[in-house]
Amino acid sequence: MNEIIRSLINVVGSDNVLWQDADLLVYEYDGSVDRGTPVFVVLPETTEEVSEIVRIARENSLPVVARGAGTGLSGGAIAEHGGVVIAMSRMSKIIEINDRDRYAVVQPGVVNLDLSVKTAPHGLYYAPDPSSQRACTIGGNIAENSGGPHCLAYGVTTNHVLGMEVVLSDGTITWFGGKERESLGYDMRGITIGSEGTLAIATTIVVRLLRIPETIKTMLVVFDDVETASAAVSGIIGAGIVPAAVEMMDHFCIQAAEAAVGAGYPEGAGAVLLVEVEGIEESVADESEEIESICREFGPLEIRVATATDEREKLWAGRKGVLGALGRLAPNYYLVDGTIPRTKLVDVLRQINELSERTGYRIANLLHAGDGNLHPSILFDERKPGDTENILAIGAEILRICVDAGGVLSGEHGIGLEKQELMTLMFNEEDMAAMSMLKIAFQTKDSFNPGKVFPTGAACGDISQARAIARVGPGAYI
Amino acid sequence: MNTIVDGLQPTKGIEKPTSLGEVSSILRDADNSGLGVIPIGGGTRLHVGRVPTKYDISIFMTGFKNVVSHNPADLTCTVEAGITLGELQDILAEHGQFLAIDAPFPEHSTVGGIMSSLPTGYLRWQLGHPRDTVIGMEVLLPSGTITKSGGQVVKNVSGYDMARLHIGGFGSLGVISKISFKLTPKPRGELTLRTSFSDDKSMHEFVSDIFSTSLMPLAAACTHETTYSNEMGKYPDYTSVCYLRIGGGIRSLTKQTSMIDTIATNHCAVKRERIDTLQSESLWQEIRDYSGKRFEIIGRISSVPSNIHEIEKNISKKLNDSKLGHTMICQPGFGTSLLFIRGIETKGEESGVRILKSLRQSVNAYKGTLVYEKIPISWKHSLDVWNADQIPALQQMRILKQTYDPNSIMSSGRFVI
Repeated sequence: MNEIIRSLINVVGSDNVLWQDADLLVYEYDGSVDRGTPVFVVLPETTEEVSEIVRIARENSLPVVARGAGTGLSGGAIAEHGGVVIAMSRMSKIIEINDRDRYAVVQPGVVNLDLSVKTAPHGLYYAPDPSSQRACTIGGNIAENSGGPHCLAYGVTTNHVLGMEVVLSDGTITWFGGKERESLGYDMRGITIGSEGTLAIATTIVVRLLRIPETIKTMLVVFDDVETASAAVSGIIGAGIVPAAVEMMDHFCIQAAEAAVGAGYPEGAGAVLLVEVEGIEESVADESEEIESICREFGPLEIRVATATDEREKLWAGRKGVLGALGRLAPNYYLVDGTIPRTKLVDVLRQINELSERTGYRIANLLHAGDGNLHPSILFDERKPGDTENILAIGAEILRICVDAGGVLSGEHGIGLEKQELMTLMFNEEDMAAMSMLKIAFQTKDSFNPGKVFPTGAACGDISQARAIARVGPGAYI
Repeated sequence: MNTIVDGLQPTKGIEKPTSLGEVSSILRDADNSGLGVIPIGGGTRLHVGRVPTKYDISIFMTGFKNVVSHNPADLTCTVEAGITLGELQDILAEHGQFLAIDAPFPEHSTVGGIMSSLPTGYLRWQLGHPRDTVIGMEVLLPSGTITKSGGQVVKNVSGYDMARLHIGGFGSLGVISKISFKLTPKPRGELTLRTSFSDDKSMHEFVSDIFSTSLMPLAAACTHETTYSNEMGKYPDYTSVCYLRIGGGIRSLTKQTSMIDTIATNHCAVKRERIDTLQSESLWQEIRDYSGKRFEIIGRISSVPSNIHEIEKNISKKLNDSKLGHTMICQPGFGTSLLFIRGIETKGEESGVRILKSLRQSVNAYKGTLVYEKIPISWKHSLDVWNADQIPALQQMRILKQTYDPNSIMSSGRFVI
């Protein structure tokens, strides 16, 4: 052990290698409920240092987990098998902002929102906007192929990364893609993004940037119930309009948000839709008029519209504060992430509601409704015997409902440790064998983030306690 | 039905399966015997790639044409790989939707072939890379195993995104059998603005200014007037022309037109024309299918967008010096350009290959790449059509190929690896 510590210190200096229990504590968790203590945490500053750390880990048969800000919700950054955590917090430089070709070159530890803030003076921004964007990093976004409310119009992380320098499991440094929009050969870039750090570690990333839209208009539409709001969403998309974002909250979320931030929703509001359109002024006017007209067909209780930044922020306040506010309704909640075809919203939400009634657990529904990405939050009290097991079973049942409706296990949180045993709901053995061959092709010997994504063979119930003692408190993100 | 690849016919047979079981069985048998297989869709891009190292069986996927599902309100569809792009677009158009891919020859090109070989298109500025339209895929591996990944929803991070391996993989890792796409609503209205300049520099500056505004054209192409008047070789008396396809409601189109006109005036445009929907369609068809004309060489240049003008200038100079007629159609903002050359065969292989290598050097000097999608077959032995030396991760790609296709049966030798 001492020899490994010496080797690591030789690479990054003594201030940047942690191995004392007290230092490791903060690296043993992420935004999920899982815990795993690494043996070492190393904080490199350059690609070459990452490469050296990976070589040392391999020589000593230690697994490697790359870590961004630790905001992930599926356990992706948990050092399940100990080993070395490579924390990217010192690799946080924006290397280049290219106005003319609209790209930025960044290190993986750059915080998502910081990139948009720094590129704003150039009239540019980085589109994927996970709700954790004030804290989460571009490297972590790549691992999880993160989404966000505005991915409805602009796509998720993989649609915005042009290339990346990576360190492979033997320490080799190479590039997948580059600064060009097209690159030669297999799309190694695309296959690595969303692989949850199991194939390669990105150390320099080229992202494409978009022009900041001329006009942004936010509409808040209040309905009696989620069924009507869901029908309105289908109406909007079905009419051939793809807004920048369409978010929905149900009555539990409204109740919590109202109590926490005083969002000013009318009494009796059963569902709130937030619809955002952006672009040149005239397009925004056309689209927002059409959206308003469609929404009116569904008898809304109220429609509010804002274009000024502070007014728009007020409309978003309830939505952005809702997860923290759920703590007012119950000591704990378990946040589920699944995606369904948009047209199945009404049916799936009905089934979730029935499940809630049948089991006696309240379920608050928060949705990226425009792209069918659900975030049901099951309210519970972990101190109550049996509650944790029950809500995990309910979470799994919700995902079954999603898959049965033609949907998928995760829209944006990833599989990680949380859902690996549910992969069999979507994929058969051949599908997963084809996927796991990628680890062979990348010659990782399962040393990069082992124990993630693929089923371990344990039954869902067996892993429940460790996996998801869902205690996502105020300030948690989706 | 064209099965000839670089002058070679399959040595064992031409298969036209109609069930996945048949495809699986053909692949399994070929894999067991180490026979070379080339999957074929519409056969429009068989000239792309190196000469196959083995070619025993061709598998035509045109028997798989079903639309498995199309949910208009979800803006998604799942189709079998053998449906042509044209057939699919016709079906989608009935619902006011389209697939944001404008590959050449849509009446022949199948969606499987298009995703495998990724021909260029012009709809990429606003709507992104064709690979981003794919949300799920079913693929038969060389062993004959049927696998799926992704799903039928627009947002999904469940498991590895395996489709990425096969998109642009030229059938070298398996046979694509089904694809799920995300779809795009047709704009309320659209038109094309044709803006002409007296020189390329003004045109590229004009385009650069367009992309520094919040304008989001559906498609953009820059070329020379000679392209469409069949006056090849008349240099330097050409006019540089930029085509911008824009979409939206009436107010939006008016505003966009006005913004573009203002920028055009700033760059001393010599002519500005507005081409309405019907004519616009045929114009973009002509641009899209330009590679169907009789060119000996078709090259595909890729670089960062701001280098395209300099690259084109250098290439043009070299070709003019060699007295070779040529045309380039560039996708400004995206950083790609198609290069078409005539008359080079008369110079003979040695001289011709030397010129092509020199052109490539001009592109590589700007850290770009030049893939020769079409050259005389015999020249392929003395010129790497792929520009593979510019790929940093070539070794990793080769290991990938060996892992998934250990007997090297799929499109053997053709792809960049």
